[in-house]
Amino acid sequence: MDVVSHMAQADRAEVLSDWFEAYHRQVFRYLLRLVADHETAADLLQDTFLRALVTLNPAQPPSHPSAWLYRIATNLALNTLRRRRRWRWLSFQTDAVAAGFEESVVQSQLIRACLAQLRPKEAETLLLYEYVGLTSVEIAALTGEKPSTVRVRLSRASARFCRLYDQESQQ
Amino acid sequence: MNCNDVQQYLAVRTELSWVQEQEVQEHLRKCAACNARWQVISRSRQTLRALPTPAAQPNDHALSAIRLALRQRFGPSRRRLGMVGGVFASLTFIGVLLLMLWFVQPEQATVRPVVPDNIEPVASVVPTSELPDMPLNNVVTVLVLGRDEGGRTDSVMLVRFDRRNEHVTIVSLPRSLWVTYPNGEAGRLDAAYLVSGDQGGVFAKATVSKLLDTPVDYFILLDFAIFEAVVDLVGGVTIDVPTVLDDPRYPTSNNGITHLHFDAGPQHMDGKRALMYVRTRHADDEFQRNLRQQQVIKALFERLQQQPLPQQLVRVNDYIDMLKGNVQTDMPQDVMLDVGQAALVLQSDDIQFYTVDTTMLVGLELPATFELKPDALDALMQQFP
Repeated sequence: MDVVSHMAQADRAEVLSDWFEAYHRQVFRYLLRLVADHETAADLLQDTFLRALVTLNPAQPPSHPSAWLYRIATNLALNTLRRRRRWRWLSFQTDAVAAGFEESVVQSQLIRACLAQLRPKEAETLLLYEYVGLTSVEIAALTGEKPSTVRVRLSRASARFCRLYDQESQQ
Repeated sequence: MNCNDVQQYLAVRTELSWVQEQEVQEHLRKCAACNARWQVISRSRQTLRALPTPAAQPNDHALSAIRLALRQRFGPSRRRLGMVGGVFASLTFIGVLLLMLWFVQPEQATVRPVVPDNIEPVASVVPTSELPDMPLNNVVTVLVLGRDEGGRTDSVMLVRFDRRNEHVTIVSLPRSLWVTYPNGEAGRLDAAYLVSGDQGGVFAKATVSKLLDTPVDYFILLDFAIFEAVVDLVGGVTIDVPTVLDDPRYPTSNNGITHLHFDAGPQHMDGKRALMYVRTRHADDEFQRNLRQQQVIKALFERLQQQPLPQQLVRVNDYIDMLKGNVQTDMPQDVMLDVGQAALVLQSDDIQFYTVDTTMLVGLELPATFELKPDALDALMQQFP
């Protein structure tokens, strides 16, 4: 490894460490909300920052680090939800503990199951908008798209989510 | 504004300017399709909000692991299986090793192999004479069950001896892992031994074999008492305690508690003391405890190797008393001899310990406990090719 790229990597680790201290609490809460399991959320938190470490370009750092980190976290969490769905591991006792009562557990699992079935891009946009609280313009800046593209997708994602939720809750 | 515009604005209604909002309202008054879309968007929003927002924080453990990973600039591929010993790793492994050493008959040794009636055989043991005449496998997989005072198999480990590569892999499995038994029922892993009475070992073997999709050749069931006895038999171990250990609530065997204290620095420990050293939990955390266990295993292993085997086997009656009633196995004697001989040339670096930790598990609905994540299961199965 030459000196330049070595330094670049040291910089990356430094920058990521700072961001970790600044954002890990909120990102963890977000991940926990999605996956409902402490251990998995902690795992995903680590994966988020390691993924960020690898993909961060020091020459072009993201203009909004937290939004950028949330996007990585979102996709990792969605992967987990999809995998669980594939393996039909939809019930978690930890969820019952987190929620405290049965009814809400069922609903939470339904929500997660539906999110897992959305198209990846749609799910990502929906989560960034609804849970992270980014605006359509911010999401567009993050993904390099036009705001109108993001809004159209968001509208469709909501409709699809609703349809899935109705289907799943009738089963 | 056409329907397409309205429908995209409806998705971000709070972002709209006053003028845009007026236009949207105007359109909604006469367009059923867009009204329907608005209904759906509101409902999905309402539903999504129902997902509870936990106030929890990651534990310090997880945080320090991530900080460390970032500092050391690890790549994204993280090793799922940590090199740490399970609670019983030391006692069971040493028990196995001892058992094997016991059956080894080196040229200069004056002792003979113990006849099997010192060990409770299970029904399925095939006498060596009836075994087909075939070369022994290069790889022998043994399920080691460590049983505590209460009779539960608190420790479940799969040990893989690879004689050709002179390598031993030991994987500790969580005792409360939710598994499917060979009879189709489901339950905890540590209950597998209890489910079928005197065939417990064979049953547990089949359970683990099914779980990891790997053949398990033999089982060995050991009692807790062995660890203490082994340490005493080798004359104790010398351990360099890195920092002061203080546990005011160490549980004693008669359900009481006692105050346990270790000063920092090198010290000699007898069996009882060494057992306390690896079992204490309140003095520090689990991570440290795993390191302590590794430390003692290594010390014991090296100690066993320092002394010539005949000296090890001098106190024959001690060995017999210790093994009596404390060990059950279905491993034929010639296999023990064979594996034991192979074990003699091992260095402590040839032994790798793995354990399943919580990051590799996924919770299940009560009364089930948890099972292995698919990638964790893959990683485990790779240890048993």
